[in-house]
Amino acid sequence: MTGGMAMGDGETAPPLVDASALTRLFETRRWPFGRRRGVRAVDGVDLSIQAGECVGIVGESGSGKSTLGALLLGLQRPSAGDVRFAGQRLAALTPRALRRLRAEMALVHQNPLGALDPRMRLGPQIVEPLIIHAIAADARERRARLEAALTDVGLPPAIAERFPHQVSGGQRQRAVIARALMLSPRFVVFDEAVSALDVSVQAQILNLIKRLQRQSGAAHLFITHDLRAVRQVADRVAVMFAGRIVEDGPVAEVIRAPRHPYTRALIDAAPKLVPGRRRRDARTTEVGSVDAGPADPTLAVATTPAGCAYRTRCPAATALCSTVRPRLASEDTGRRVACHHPAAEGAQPLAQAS
Amino acid sequence: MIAYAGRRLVRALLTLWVTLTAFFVLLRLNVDIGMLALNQNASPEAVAAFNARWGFDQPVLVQYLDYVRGLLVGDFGFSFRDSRPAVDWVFERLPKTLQLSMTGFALMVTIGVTAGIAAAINRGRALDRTIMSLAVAGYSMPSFVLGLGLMYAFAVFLQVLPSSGSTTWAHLILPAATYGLTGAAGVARYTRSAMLDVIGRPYILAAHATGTPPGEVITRHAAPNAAIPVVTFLGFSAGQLVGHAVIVETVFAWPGLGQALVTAVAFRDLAVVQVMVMVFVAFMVTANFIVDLLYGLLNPKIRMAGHGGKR
Ligand SMILES: Nc1ncnc2c1ncn2[C@@H]1O[C@H](COP(=O)(O)OP(=O)(O)O)[C@@H](O)[C@H]1O
Ligand code: SF4
Ligand SMILES: [Mg+2]
Repeated sequence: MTGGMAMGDGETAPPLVDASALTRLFETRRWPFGRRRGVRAVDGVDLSIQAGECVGIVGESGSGKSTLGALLLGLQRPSAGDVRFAGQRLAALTPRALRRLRAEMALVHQNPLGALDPRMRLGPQIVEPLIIHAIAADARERRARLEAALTDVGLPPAIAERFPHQVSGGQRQRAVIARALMLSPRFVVFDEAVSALDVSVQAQILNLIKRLQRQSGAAHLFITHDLRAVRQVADRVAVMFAGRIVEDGPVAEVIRAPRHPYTRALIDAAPKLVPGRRRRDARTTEVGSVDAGPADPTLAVATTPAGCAYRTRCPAATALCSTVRPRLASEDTGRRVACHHPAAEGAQPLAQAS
Repeated sequence: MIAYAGRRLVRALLTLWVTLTAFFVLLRLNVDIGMLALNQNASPEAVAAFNARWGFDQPVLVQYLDYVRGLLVGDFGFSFRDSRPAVDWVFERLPKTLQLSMTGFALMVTIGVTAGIAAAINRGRALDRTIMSLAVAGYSMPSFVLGLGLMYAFAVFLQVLPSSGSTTWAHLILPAATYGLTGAAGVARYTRSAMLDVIGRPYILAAHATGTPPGEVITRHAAPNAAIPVVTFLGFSAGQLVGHAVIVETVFAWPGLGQALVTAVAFRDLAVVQVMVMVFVAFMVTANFIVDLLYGLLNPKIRMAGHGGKR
């Protein structure tokens, strides 16, 4: 709730999805001998998503994006904190009630070939949610809804007879999207939904996702490590690092004027993201992460009981950063940032500032 | 699918023929059959007369052609022991073997698949560890040890089941259980790993995310996909059929083909050995043929390989 809503500051419509202090700990096996080690995949995340809003989550591999998506969908149980969907606490629901609620949520997975049952023709897979939720009982109605869904995602009706291995990657992802949207869910998580596709196909699928969202008014969570994709579909973006949101705000604002050093590094590492700004030189790219390998939350947890998890890579780090962990603070611009020394609005690139 | 089945059928028949020929030649290489069939002290004349009577003095190729000609009219040769047609042995013994191995096979599949699925679903928990420990024990225990153990427990100690013979259904229980349990250990291990592999796939997560009840996730998606490798494994395990039959039938004095094969070999009863081996090979080839068909049914990629499945 405290997760400052970037959108619509005036009218406070209750968010459709609302996570507070959401935490997910993975305990690595400790028997037979080894010490108990924990990974905080998601660490105290506050995030709310409004109906009709598309929130992008960016961050490097291992930063906890997929885990956050699974938590918001109730596919994993939080170790601490809460997820509310339309006001209902997911953790308070019986497994059965949660399954029923799943008709209103959906997941689109990164790997469209893996996300489809290789043994089933596409048609039956796409309409399966109707059967599971006993919605369209007779075959003719299912047939009609299948055709409508295929048209919606731009697939020819004949494709229903095909097996997943018989169609292209883009068509597969369209089929996965058709299946996810079969029940007109109010909340859809796209987990790296275009990352596995060719660049040309990516753009088409992104457009499709955007169009479908406008039509349906659903809330979307769009997970990716690609800032460009986020800029194309999302209204708001949250940047994750080591299980935490380090910055969020309207996507155009965040890209134009990043406040957190990590966001800056992500933007600088992405070529041609901002017109006129070229990719930074090697020295700063090295600091700037994406090539510096995944964050290791284990390390962050084990070796940093306090302090900012990003400080070992941060060019702006000070003594304060290694003792006090920065809180994600709301700013009056509707943005949030977790940093002791955020870049000032419209600041010059860090390398030059320091 | 028809074309696929046709190709598999041709392959099965070819396998049968090649095995038969190889076996026929092997049995006749460098072996004085008359000497073996009679005994060490038989006079050379008697041995020569024996060889002439049964045609063993002919070149192998001639014998082979004769044999094949015989096969075409349903003549499988005669037993040295009682001069009856060798197939009579098969007709007498086959039903018993079928009864035992079918029951055993059904038990093996039922127990093995159920245990494997249960272990996979409860991965890492007590049930999984119990099942897998039992499976390892079962897998490493020779079937005659298990057979004797069961016999001791149920026939000698508890005295609730007969120890040997084949006259009633009760007689079937111990040998079929021996057969089934020995095989089930491997099936369970294989099923578990196939299930674990499938359960980790994104489409299983997708099914959960759709709100599919856990049981239906298994029946709709996990089990059918895991069945593909399991069925293949079952095909291979049909290859152990002969060994199983010989051992289990001997331990429980079950009058089937396996037991008869052991005696036929002991008596050097060539025609009978030959026809029995053929039956066993036919058994395996049929099993593999069925597996191939099932495999095609279960796996669209295989089935459609013929007609331009786009990659
Ligand atoms: N099931 C799991 N068991 C143990 N660790 C996990 C599991 N799932 C994720 N993690 C760990 O949690 C962290 C975040 O993972 P993930 O959410 O997949 O990140 P992302 O999607 O951003 O790449 C990683 O360190 C990962 O190793
Ligand atoms: S808090 Fe300190 S170390 Fe962390 S990002 Fe900000 S300046 Fe860098
Ligand atoms: Mg991920």
